[in-house]
Formats: sequence, C-alpha cells, structure tokens
Amino acid sequence: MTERKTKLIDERGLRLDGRRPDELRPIRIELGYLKHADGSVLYEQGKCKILAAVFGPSEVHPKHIELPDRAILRVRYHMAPFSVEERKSPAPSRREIELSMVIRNALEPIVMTELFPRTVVAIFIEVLQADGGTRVAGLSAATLALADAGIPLRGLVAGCAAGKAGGTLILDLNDTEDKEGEADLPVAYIPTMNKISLLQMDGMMTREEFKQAVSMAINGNMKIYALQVASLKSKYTPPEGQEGGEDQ
Amino acid sequence: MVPGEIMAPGNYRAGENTVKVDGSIVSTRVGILRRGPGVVSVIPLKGFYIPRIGDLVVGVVCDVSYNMWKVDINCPYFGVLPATDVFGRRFDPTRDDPLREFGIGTVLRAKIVAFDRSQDPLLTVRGPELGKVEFGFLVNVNPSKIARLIGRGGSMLSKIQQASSSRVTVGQNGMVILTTTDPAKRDRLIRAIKLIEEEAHTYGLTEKVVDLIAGGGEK
Repeated sequence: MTERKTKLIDERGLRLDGRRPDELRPIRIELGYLKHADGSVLYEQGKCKILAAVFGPSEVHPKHIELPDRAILRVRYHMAPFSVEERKSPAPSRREIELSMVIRNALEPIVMTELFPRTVVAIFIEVLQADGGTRVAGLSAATLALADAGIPLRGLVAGCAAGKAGGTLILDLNDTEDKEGEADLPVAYIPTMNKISLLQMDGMMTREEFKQAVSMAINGNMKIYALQVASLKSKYTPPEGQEGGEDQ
Repeated sequence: MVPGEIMAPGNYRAGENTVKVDGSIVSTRVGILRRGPGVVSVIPLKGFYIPRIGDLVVGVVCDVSYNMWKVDINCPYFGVLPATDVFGRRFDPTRDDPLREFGIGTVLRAKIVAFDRSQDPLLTVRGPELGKVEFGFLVNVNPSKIARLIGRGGSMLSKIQQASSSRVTVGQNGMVILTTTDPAKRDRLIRAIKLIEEEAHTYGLTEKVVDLIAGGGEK
C-alpha cells in the first residue's frame, strides 16, 4: 500500500513539506475572532484552518436533559463542505458525530462543570480547511475558545498527532502522510495535570514504536501548549506593558 | 494567569477563580494575579455573571405567568420575581394581574434575595430605588468589568455621576441604566463606559473618564 504512491520521506530524511520528522507545522492563533460568540478562536496549523466558538453557560433546552449537579457540554465538530478536496455533504457524518463525542470526552476533565449546574456550554468546531489532524487541532482550538469565553478550566488541553510514514516515526501528520503512511496516533494531553485525555490509533506499529510515538506526540503537545499560553497572555496584556490594575 | 497555571505554593488560601491541586494553587481563568494577606486569587478579564445574594441587578421581564415574572438578568439562570413580592401577602390571582403591573420588556432594578445551586435566583423589587425603570438608557458591559466601573467604594461611579450630573444604576450582572434626557450627554456617558470596559486594567482611567464626560472628549 505504502510504496504505491508518493515517497513520504526523502534521502535527507525530510518529509513531503520539508519538515524534519519531529517538527510541527506552523501554528497561528487568533483569539476573539468572532464578535457574537462568548469565546472564539481562529486556529491554523499548517494548511488546517479551524474556527472554534463557545456559547454559554446558558439555560438548557430541552429542559429534561439538564443535570442537577453540573453543566452539560455540547460539542459539534463539523467540516465545511469546502474543507476537503471533493465537496463534503454538509450533513453531519457518522465520523463527525463520533469525533464530536471524542472531543467532548477529552474536554470534560478540564471544564469545571460543577460550578454552574443546570446549564449548558456549547462548543462549535468548524473545520474550514482540512489537512490531517483536524480532531486534535479542533481540540486545541476548542480549549482556547473556552478560555476566551472566561469559562473556569482546570487546565488547557493541547492536541497533536504522531504516526509512522515511510518507515519513520513522525510528528503532526498532514493529510497525505495520514492517508498513505503506516499509522496515525492522535494524542491530546493536559500538560499541567500530566494526563492524556484523548488517544486513538489507526494503522500498525510495534509496541516500541507506539511508546516512542506517544512520547513524541506529548513533546509536540508541550510546544502547542506553550503557544496556547502565549496567545492567551498576549491578548489580555495591555499594549503599554502595564501589568495589573489599580490594586496590583 | 491562564487556566492551569500554578500561582503559589499551598500555604496560601485559594481565592476566587483558583483551585488547590496537589498542594499548590492553580488558576482557573484568564486573568490577573492578585495577592491578599494569606490568599491569592485571579481577577478574570472576561466572564459571565453568576448571581450572589444581595447583588443589585438590572433585568428585563421576559415572561409573565399568573403568579410570577421571569426576568432576564444576563446570566445562565432566569431571575424569578414572585407576584407576592409586588402585591404583598394578600395577592389574589383572581383580582391582581401581574401583566398589568410589569409587562414583557419592562426593565427592573432588583435585588437578589436567594440563590443556590438548585434554585433559580429569587428577586425582590421591594426597597428604596428598586422596581420599574420608567425611562433611561440600557447599556451592556461585560460583568467582569463591573467592579472597575463602580470603583473602590464606589469612587468611579460617584465621579461619573458627579461629572455628568445624571443618575447611573450599575447592576452587578453587567446591565447599566443611564438616566438622562440629554442625548449628547448620554452618548458621552456610553463612550465613557465603553472606555472603562476596554481599558479596565490601566492606570489613570478615572481622570480620562471624567474628562470625556465633562468636555465631550477630543474625538
């Protein structure tokens, strides 16, 4: 299967887009991208473009699904019809419904839902342009949108995939590497709690390779986490470099 | 501070917007670190309103039933104003009509008398300065900036009222009523309030605001 098409790793050990095996794609974060959402972000990772928006907490409709002791999270992961090469039907596919659930499960450990019972926090993840690793990029984006909305969080989730292509372990796969490579391993990690909140795998790897790939993904996540922190701090730091308000 | 960031070792008490994890205090919101005697807390830079008992709020009636009003107080829960609060103990649904008292869209000044995790916030309009707002202009402010708008011991608010010689009601929930008949003055007040919202974290804001209201500003 693999030998069939493109050579994923060249003689110099570089990848299709010229990255080293353990290099992330360039990431751009624009917080507060949308005016009407309570929290929002435009998140770009290489050619992936993802828009995440958060509403809430607000009252739950229909009323019977509300929980008396905590808030519920509603996550919608959706790919725009123009996000992939061939037009995708705008209706949520089986894959998108599953990913919405997976992302919700990955966010649940950080959102302090017990602080606002009987409410709902709605998270929308719109993939505008897909190029591999959208579930984990969507997760990184959703976390930023939650923080931007001022929702109490225990930490931040960073998401990044590792995998194997052309016989080499690589970080942050793009679409071609994902489809033609041997394995794909999306990992979401909460650095401050030292916990993995999402781990999926597709393809074949040996046990040793798997262990290596997980630690590689965690390293990538640490870099993404640093970028997330930097973006949140820079948005809210006054331009003149003044720290703190009057009572500081 | 960002969520998950360690702020202080565990010998401090965890203040607002923080939690204690494994003996250290961790922030839960994006905000500014604040130290008090033996306590650390985070002043959030953006947020939503969670009712607290005793808070003065401004709300808009959004539903009327035979024995209570539902009031939108800009928070995840609706405020409930029981009919007995207005008509008294002898409220009689066959005689008294809540709709005639406060229709949908009525703006109210109210106080929160009860609220907990299992109950929607209960309001009262009994008290001085509370009740229906007959005229004025409603402005929305992010609830996390309300503390700055009021200022220490109400300093900012009283300066604003003095400078504009009009009455300003600030609801803790982020809704503000301006009571003035002069449209120019009203516009300057709105600009001043938006300035506070945007530059809440800077120094010398009070002077800027007073200038803006008094002189009409440079703009």
